[in-house]
Amino acid sequence: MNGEVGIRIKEKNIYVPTMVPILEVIQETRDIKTFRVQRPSSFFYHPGQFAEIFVPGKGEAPFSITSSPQEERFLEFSIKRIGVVTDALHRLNPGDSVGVRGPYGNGFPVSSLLHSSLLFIGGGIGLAPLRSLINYVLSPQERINFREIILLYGARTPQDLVFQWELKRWAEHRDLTLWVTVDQGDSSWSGIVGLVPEVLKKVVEVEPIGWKSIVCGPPIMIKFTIKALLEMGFQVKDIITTLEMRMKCGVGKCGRCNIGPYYVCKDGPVFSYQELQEMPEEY
Amino acid sequence: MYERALTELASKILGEVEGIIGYAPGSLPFHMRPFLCQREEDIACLSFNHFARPNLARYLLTLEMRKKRVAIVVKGCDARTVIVLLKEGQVKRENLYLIGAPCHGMVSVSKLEERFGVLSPPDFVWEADTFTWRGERFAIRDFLEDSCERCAYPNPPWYDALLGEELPKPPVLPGGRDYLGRIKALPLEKRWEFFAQEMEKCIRCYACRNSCPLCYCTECFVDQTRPSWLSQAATRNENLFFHLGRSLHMAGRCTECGACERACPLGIPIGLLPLYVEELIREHFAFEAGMNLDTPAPLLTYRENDPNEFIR
Amino acid sequence: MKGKFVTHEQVFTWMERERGLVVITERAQKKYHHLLPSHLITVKTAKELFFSPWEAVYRYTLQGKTWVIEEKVEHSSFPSFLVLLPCEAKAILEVTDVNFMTEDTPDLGYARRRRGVTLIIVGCERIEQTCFCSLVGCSPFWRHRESVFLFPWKGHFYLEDGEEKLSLSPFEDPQKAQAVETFFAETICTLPLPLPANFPEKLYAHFDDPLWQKMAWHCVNCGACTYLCPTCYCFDLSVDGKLRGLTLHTWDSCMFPKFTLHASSHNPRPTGKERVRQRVMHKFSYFPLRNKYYGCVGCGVCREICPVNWDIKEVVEGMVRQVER
Repeated sequence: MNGEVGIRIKEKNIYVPTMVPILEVIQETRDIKTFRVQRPSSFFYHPGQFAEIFVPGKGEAPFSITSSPQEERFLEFSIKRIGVVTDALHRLNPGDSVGVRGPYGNGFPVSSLLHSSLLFIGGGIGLAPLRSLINYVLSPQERINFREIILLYGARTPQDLVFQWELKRWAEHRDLTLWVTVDQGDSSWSGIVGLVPEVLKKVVEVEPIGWKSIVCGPPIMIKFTIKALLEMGFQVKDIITTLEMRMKCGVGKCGRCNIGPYYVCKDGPVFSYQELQEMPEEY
Repeated sequence: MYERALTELASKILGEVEGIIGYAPGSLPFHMRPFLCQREEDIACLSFNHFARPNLARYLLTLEMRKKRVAIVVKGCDARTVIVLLKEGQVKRENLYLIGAPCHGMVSVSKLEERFGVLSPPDFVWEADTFTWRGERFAIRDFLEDSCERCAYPNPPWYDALLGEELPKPPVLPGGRDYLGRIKALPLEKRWEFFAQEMEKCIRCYACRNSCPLCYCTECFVDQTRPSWLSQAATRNENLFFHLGRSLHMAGRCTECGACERACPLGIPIGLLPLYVEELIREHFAFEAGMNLDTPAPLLTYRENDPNEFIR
Repeated sequence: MKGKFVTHEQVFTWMERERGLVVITERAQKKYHHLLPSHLITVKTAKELFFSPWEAVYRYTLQGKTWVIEEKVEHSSFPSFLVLLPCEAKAILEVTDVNFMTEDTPDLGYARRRRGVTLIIVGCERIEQTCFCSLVGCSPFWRHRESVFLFPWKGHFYLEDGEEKLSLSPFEDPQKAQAVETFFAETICTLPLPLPANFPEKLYAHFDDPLWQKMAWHCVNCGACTYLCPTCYCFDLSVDGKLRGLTLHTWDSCMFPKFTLHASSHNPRPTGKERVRQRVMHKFSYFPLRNKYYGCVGCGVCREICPVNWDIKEVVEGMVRQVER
């Protein structure tokens, strides 16, 4: 700075993560673990946003934040073991540290959900981003701003259900109606058996006016669930979903996660079905 | 060149084959491009000349082409590549129809530019082994691509049909133009200096790898992550590691077509490494890749009675 | 009248004097080696000065049981002037700067190197056969208010904005300056017309055009065009080293399958068709839809270096015919 006198503010490098300790690791299923890590100071986020998690020596990967923003102490991420970074994460224990940078993405459009009834539909690990919003809307401060709340959750087998402890809590919650289904039952399972879209049409009886549905899960499940919701009379703008893409920078610069002119990391990952319909099918 | 023979043959075989992989005039002068002829009206586009540089064998490996019976226009080096692909089980003989094109060598645009400055197509009249520029006659041999200068096989060793007559073996070139020989003649430190300098330029765009028909691994070792073999940083050492790795993987397979070298946007003489490896293979095993279907490839063949202990 | 004149001698002497601070692109050097000092530091592309082929973002080290992260900060005395062609300058000012220098989330490595570098644009006397800058809003005389503009004119250099930025003492010649302006305007009239209005929107509507398949056929999906493209800015973040190492910011290319490959092995752009379409769409539809400028400056480098003569101009012209049908 040409002779300027003043305090030099240290510029922030957006790619440098903050190292934080892992507080707790919960084995959810055979290949899914939930990691509770210390929340970095000045990390403020909305439900549906994600963070890049860095494992030194292994790399970085994006994960949606599954804890509610009202949790002040920690962040939670539910992670399926699938690649190099997740494999390394699964070997970590409480006390080990990981890098966190974010939050990134748009998050759920909470303000447009206000005063509506909410139908959450999750498949497999797709419950992770929903959980952040579910716990947010169930919180005493926020509950008053929403009407009826239903959650339909499905997984392949009873062993693949994530957040079993949370599901128990939600089942007893009087402000939430919970339906859990599995594609394939076993001797231990006395609940509903059936694919999410089919169960949806069978058990959820709502008049779609005043409802919003938030769908998250594997692509094939999303596809058929949206079809079922449309058959039930939901409007395209009232169906909200999240997309997954390979993401690196998190801020719409590195150029890989776009669908048409939209960057999933910046303009998404949450999109309404109306928005999705206007995008090319390249995801 | 060969236009008439090409059109006649193409009209005859199209239908019997689902497509003809050949060359068509490119969008720029002195450029030919790979062209897939599938309909009657495409036939007129097929052509061949001194600028038909790309090795078309690469296009046999696309998913779409693997399923079809296709004809392919091949120069000597390209035909050898197809033979290697056949030997390695990448393509099926019954799916192939080889249209051999006896080749006088490909002309290097940069060598033309060096001599004539900014090039204007009407200045040139091309013939088989000579051309005229503004009426003055020149020998094609003086403007060949490096890879073609060293070529000993102008004719495809195997073909179903040949466009024109087989050509005589080209004369051995005077020592001064043998650039591998020149590098080998340098003392060790100078050689290292040369490669270090060249490797510094590489940006790892993988044009060499992707242009090579024999670099067909579904996942190249440079892209592997478990383990990750090299850093994403295009530093001299990492670049050298990539090129050495590639050359070794090509050992006894490379047909010296020069596609890698011509593809390099930075003009790195990347062909030197596989070329040297092939020279060693010739020396130790008296073998040249892609000359016939029967001779086993020395480095891809396991024998219990191998004279070398390390392999047993 | 904005333009003034300086002698070749003045420019030459200035460059000689500032030698260590001046960098010239290879293309500008090739074009004007007869007017400029021959031994200036040259770079292959302008973008690589700011958007490095690779750089370390931070170092991570395991110390005892804790990981320590140290940010890498470059403190190099970097060149202050970059001599380049109009298309190369447009690529920096209207594409890579736009991507990397956003106010809320600047790419610090790029920004640090870019700040304080003055671009000296040398207009083109001659148009190469690979050039197509007039199609995409550029021209052989493209200028920018933040940059110096030079143009060789009858034994002198026509100069804009160089007085303060380069401390040159130009002389005025309004009549001659008028002649230069007229020459620019007349030449531009002879160049091919820009792409049709609203081409980005129209092209977007042709996402599913079957022509993409045909156009992608002979592309070998290497990264030569993207790496040497003056506007291509896609990058990767990766790690190098186990117990101590670097997180790297490196060039990456939409031509590579790995670019979009998910850990689950699903790939939204699985074949050459999708990747070629992405490259064209990004430059001619997505980028202009978001940032109003084309993501291509028509320099023609990719046409020149493509090993199989895959030609972006031809493809775009093909798509123009397709959208206007």
